[in-house]
Amino acid sequence: MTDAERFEAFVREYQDMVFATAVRLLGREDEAEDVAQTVFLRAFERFATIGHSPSAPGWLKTVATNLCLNHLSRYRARWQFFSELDQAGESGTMAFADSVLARDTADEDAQRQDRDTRLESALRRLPDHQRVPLVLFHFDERSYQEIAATLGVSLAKVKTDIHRGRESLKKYL
Amino acid sequence: MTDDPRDFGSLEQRVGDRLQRLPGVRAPRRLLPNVMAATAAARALPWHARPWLTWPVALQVLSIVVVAATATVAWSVWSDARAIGAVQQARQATSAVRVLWDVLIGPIAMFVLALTVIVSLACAAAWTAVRHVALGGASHR
Repeated sequence: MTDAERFEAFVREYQDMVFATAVRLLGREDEAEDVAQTVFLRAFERFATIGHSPSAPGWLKTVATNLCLNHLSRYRARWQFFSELDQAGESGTMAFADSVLARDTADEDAQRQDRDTRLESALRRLPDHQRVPLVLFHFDERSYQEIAATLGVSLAKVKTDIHRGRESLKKYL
Repeated sequence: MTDDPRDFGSLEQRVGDRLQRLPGVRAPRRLLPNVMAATAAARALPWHARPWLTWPVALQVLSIVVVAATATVAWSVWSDARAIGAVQQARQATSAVRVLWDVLIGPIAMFVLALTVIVSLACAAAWTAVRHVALGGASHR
């Protein structure tokens, strides 16, 4: 097996995990795809050391998370803008998920799948300042303090934003 | 937003459980070919145009040695230049003060000093005379 083939197998194995991390943090598939590609290019540069390492998934996830946070911090103005337009943003961003919610499906599996889709959509459409700490808390298992330190905001703000995010997702559970 | 901590904990639990049960997200089909194309393009570059981490180990070690040597030389040159510069600066400052003394202050310094002494003595004599003549009686009362 050549190096290229080994790296292709590596990407194939972890691409879903990396992309999921990115798309849940960024909420946008196109940006998540760019970040995922950058993550794998960095992995390619270090493939000799991380290719067979058991810590590769953790390394990939950490790099993906950091790149996403860097990407978001470049748009700090947008972040603050959404933060200030809290309520208005929530109602607007939920429009798509609400339209999905209106659909009825007879089959139970289809219903579950539908609920999953709605929840995933609702999560991605949360405002940045709610979605990012929520994802870090529930998917990355970081504490409130760690999230506050990572994002450079107060602990109270993290708790409030996460709680508001959960309140917004409650109707899609 | 509820104020009841039980509601808070319950909601956290419910949302957390539900999010954890979400099915995995699939990466777009084009991600893999895009990554492979980008890595193929990177492989096609000459070694010196690639990221340092992808260089052969021998070249990495060599580059570290070269950078360290260059930094050491640069540091020593800079330090020497700084020392020489400091000495020259001190000399220049001393020369400037000497020239200033020789040209401006020196010639008038003695005159000013003599004048100051004479004026001081004159003032002292005058004060003594005034005290003796005008205030003599009062001062010895």
